[in-house]
Amino acid sequence: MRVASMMNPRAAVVMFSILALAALAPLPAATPALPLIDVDAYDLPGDRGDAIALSWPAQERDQEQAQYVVSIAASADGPTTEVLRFNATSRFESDEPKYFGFGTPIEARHFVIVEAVEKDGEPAETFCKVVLYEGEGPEAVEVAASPIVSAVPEPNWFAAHKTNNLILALLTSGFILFFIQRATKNPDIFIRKLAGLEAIDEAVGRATEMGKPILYLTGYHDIDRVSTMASVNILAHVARKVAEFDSRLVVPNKWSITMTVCQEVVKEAYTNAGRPDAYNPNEIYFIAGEQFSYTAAVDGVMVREKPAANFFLGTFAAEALILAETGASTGAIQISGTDSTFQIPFFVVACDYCLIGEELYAASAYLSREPKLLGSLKGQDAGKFLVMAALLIGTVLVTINQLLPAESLTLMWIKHFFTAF
Amino acid sequence: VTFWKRQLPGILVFVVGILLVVQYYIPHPWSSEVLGESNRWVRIIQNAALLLGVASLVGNHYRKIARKQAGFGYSYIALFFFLAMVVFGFATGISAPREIRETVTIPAGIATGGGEVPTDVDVESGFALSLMPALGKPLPNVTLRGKVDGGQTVALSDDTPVQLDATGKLILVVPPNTSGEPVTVGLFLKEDQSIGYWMFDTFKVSMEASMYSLLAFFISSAAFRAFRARSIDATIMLIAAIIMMIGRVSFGEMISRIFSKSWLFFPKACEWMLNVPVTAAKRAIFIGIALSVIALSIRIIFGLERSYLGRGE
Repeated sequence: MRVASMMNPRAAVVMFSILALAALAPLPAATPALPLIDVDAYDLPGDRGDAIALSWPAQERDQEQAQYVVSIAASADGPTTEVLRFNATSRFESDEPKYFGFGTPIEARHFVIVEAVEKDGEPAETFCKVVLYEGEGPEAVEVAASPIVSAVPEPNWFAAHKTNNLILALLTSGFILFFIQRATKNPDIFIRKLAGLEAIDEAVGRATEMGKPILYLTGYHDIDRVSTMASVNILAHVARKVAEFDSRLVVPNKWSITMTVCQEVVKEAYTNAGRPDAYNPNEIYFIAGEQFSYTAAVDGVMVREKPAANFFLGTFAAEALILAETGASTGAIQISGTDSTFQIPFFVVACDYCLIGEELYAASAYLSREPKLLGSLKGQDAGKFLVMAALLIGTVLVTINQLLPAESLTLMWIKHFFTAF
Repeated sequence: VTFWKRQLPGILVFVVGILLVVQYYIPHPWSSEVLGESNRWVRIIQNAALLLGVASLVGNHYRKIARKQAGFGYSYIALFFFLAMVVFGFATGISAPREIRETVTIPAGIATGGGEVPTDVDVESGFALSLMPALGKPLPNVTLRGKVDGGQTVALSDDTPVQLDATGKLILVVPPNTSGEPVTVGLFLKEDQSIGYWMFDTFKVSMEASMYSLLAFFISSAAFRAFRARSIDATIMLIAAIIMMIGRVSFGEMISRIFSKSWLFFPKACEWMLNVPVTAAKRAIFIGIALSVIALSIRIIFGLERSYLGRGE
């Protein structure tokens, strides 16, 4: 900064112009006297076709004070643009398990990904040159350079690095579908009791006796979230109970689409219970679209109408405790369920019953007692067994691995099978 | 009716569900376009559905007022501010005021002898202009003035923003100076905030912040209720909470000396609890949730779970 501030502006302009001209100059051919860097340029696998990969063996002169500069151009003799500059002791293939895996021995090769140049708005053949410099700033000296190499980026139809994810997803889905199929033949399935769901009747009955409404919230997110859908599924069962008990259900919503879906679900539940006349669409309404406006408005409803039972089911954020504590202060029986781990402790403390994580998603199957749905819970359990087995075996293998002189590649492979990219 | 209400939604859910699952494994640009397009549709539907929300909100408050239900006075306030926000929001906009920062260097010749320096800074009506020091440079000790072609010159300062009376490129008018050095100054242009934005910033943002801050008090009341050693579970939680609280406060290290030779007994215990039992429990919950989401998705995609379509069980 001090040097820059002391520099004459005219000199700075001249220097900048020289540097700009140098950057626009055609790619110089590799100086024969310099050692050659043997760079491979190829299409980056498993991408959308807008990048190429460069790799080259580590050089003898790689050291802390050296740096690689990668430049690209649209043609072999076109103007170059510097796109990457990094320390010569960094960026190796071993840093990219996404492409090179964990298990295979990796030769000490540098690896970089470069965005392809565009021609007519489409990624096109990209020409690259890699130069190794020693020293810093103006004293940097070019000590090795690559010839000009090129690659054409191609879009891919499968992200190979997600293969482990696909296998696990297929395996889990297979378990679930198998148990669903099995449940149709043998519908007698044991599911442990979930106190929160068993208490729904108690809560609705209490509200009916007290002549007070039941408040139901579907959470912070819109219907495109699975947790909200799980909540709406439970709402169908709660609404049916409310209709049977001839009580009153209030559903303030944060999202318009969720409101419409809830109206439809509650209407259908009332019809199924033989009480279509008791359905009032005005009780399922949009209250506010912002987080704390919604919280304040729902708190207002709780304080004014004093519901006898509050249901908080879905994903909740910072508003969870404000809602649950306000509900507790009005003396309502409270049943909550959420998949947000940060809010679970708050709900456990402030509510009478709390569905933790997966229990929220299992609730509709539990309440309906439909064999096919219960079968999916059994499938989930099989998936859990798989994960537990993997954890156990993995722990044993990793422990054994620590005792061995060198790390076994097979064990490495197993250890990293569950790594997500 | 059966087709529209039962079969078509089921077919749509199946096709879109499978398509989006497959899309996750395909990096091809077509696949990204499918995802982008479906997200666009979601946004369009969400925004169109907002009208339903507005109708519901207005109708709900109107009914409360008409029936004089408990707390109907609040409905007047809600409707008044709803209408005010809509009117002023549409009339004046609700975007945050734009801010433009530019640096201008006055050449040594003009800085010494005085004169006019044309700049690339566009001055628009509604923008107030002030000076600010450029990075590492003090403001010049002379009064710079600014104008736009055909307009009046106005004195610029770093503490009172001024508006120019015309629209166009800013011209700096520099008085003679004896220093002989080029001068670099920063220019700061800030748009006047609209009434819509002012309402948003003044009422909504501050009220939401107040609501959020209530959380601190609710945490205290919830903690008071939770930390009563009524059972073994509650007692374990109480002990864990005490260790956690002491480990997180500044005198935790001091208190550590009472129980241990190490100053870091409580902070370390606190760290261990977070890293080992809490993380283990959280991961168990996450694994359970992930499997449940897969199971629920399969139930929905294959039409086994239809409660959300309004069909009960």
